[in-house]
Amino acid sequence: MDTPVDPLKIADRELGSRLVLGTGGAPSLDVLERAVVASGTELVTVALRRIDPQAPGSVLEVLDRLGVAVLPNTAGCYTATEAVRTARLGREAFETDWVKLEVIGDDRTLLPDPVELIDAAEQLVDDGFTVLAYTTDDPILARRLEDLGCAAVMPLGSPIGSGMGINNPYNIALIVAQAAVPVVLDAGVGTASDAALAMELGCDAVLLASAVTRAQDPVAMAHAMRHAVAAGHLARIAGRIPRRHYADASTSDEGRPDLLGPDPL
Amino acid sequence: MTAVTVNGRPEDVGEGTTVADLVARHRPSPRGVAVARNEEVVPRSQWDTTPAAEGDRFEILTAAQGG
Repeated sequence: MDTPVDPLKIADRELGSRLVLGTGGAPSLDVLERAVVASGTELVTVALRRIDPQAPGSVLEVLDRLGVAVLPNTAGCYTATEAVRTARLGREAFETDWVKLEVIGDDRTLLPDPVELIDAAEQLVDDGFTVLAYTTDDPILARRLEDLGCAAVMPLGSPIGSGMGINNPYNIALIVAQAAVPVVLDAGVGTASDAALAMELGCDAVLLASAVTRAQDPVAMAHAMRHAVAAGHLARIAGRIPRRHYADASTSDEGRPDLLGPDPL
Repeated sequence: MTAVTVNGRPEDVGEGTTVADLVARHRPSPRGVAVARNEEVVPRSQWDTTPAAEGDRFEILTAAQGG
């Protein structure tokens, strides 16, 4: 059965898939290409780095061939100044004003630096960028990013590449409840159930890289993530049953036969 | 000759070398390439008319795998 998934709308763009794939960590461009196809994604992140004349092929050629949109990131930036410059270079290189804004606080946790993040987001929104902001799972910070004009807020589930899943589902739910822009769970996904949980909590999409690219079989995991995101989204729309402390029989007691027989005493 | 830095390495380029020349020297196709000169982006439309000046720092960048 085909799973009908309503399109995701970020800024003025509709996307048929609610999975955004990062390309970092793939063992080869061939594996990456097959993983992108298996994931069904229509939006893929890339980083900007110095050209390497020895590089065999280019990630951009792969993405062009597959017809997926490119989302340049500002990975590795520690200050608003670097992030804004990197975003402008990405706009020039890839002819898109979309940017995954990432401003990191330290290299051990790779957690966002909220102060630099807000500064960079303001500058980029003023400069006409469509900013998708990678942020902590702080609902107040997410609100501030939305208020200053970000097109999507992307709270982390747990640190980048940690595979710890969603450490604070309560905060993610709070962010979802208040947000008027799409919420994309970004970072920390380890396996399919993490992606499904993000969608069940009401996230509009999931962005993941390592969970696929560093899986033992990246193509199979890409396939799993495609289904997990779709399943979680459908479950959210369908409306889960409430949790309760005691059982609630789904089979009625009405018409239950007496099969114990007469009391032997 | 004009002494500049390209991607962190010193390079001597001929007088009148433009950003477009520098890019062509390092990359056969300019698709997906961006250039910063002294930390500021040089728009593609200005590559032909922006000369390399003594001491300029260039970064010639392109897509890499990243999350």
